[in-house]
Amino acid sequence: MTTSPAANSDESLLTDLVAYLDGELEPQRARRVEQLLFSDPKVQEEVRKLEQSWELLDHLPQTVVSDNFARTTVELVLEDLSQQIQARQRSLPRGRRRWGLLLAGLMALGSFLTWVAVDSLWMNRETQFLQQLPVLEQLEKYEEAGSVEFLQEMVRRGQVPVPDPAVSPHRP
Amino acid sequence: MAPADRPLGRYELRDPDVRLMLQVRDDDAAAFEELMLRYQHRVLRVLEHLAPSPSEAEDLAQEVFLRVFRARKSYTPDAKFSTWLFTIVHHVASNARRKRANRQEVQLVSSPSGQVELGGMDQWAQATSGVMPSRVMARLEMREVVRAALTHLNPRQRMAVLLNKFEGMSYADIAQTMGTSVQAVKSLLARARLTLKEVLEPYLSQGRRPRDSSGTGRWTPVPS
Repeated sequence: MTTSPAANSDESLLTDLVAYLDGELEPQRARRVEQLLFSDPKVQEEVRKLEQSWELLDHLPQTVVSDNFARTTVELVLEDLSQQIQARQRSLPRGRRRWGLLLAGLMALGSFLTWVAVDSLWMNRETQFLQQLPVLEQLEKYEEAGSVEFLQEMVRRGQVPVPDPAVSPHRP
Repeated sequence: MAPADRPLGRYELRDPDVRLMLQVRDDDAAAFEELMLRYQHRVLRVLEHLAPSPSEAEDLAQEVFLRVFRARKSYTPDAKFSTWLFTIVHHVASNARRKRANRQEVQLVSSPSGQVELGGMDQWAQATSGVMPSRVMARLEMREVVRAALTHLNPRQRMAVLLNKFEGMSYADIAQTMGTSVQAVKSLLARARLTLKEVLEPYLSQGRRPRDSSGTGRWTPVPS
């Protein structure tokens, strides 16, 4: 089957119109399309309809990613990684496999200890923050006081809270 | 030639996601998670229109990120990160389509009725009629009409449209992503937009909804 020159010309014009709308047409051909658009109401109408149907795509629903997508993907990746390591282990000679297992065990232990250390440091910070919360809430008043003597007077009158020294993290 | 002089370097400089991917290459798990969070919506948005169901689209999106992780050691920044990522999306979607086609072939052979079920518009219309306020109905109808119109495009046209419309990719980037020429992308997009226009025009002018996915694809010539 052969395509007629007229059909080829239509196809070529359509391709140029769409590329023009997308800003992807070479300058010389873009000028030709602009001349056509200026002089031919039917081309104008065709472009309007192409634009109108294209803009309708904006009505497609918003994509909703499920809450656990990232978590399950990371699990999938870790499982894949673990299978790769196991496959590599199986391909190693027995002695080297033992060393590999030992190394993996040590790495796991190291990760666990790091996690414990980071976790307890974080807990300490949280505890410290909670203990100092009454002082932080009154910080503006302390700043206004300006001097230690005045503050001591305020404490004596019971107008500012005193942090409990028994639970202070800075207690010697 | 020094690494900084190579043309590859410009992507590292201009594209922060390329730099993140280079961190993933160096086994930085946090960088991988960050990339995933940045792109999960975009990947899923494209796959939703290429997969037959939302759950399959999500499975494919996970496969994309799994492939990103597997490919990390061989990653070289010779394109924008999004171009590289959507090349993987394109491959994953194409492979899934081929597998699905094989499965359907087997199912059609074994189906006693031989009937083809047309889901989508009709089922949706039955499910929603008379239970929603008219404005909500109209919005949902519009969504469904546009979604149905997209099914009239062949998979390559659909991919080109999604990359162009939602990813804002240039023809050159689409060509690189789909492993084809810029001229072929021009042609794909022209035919796709013609089909969309022809499918949606009856709805816009007379409120007639597209009913099936057998695209026509011929353009009424514009006399000059």
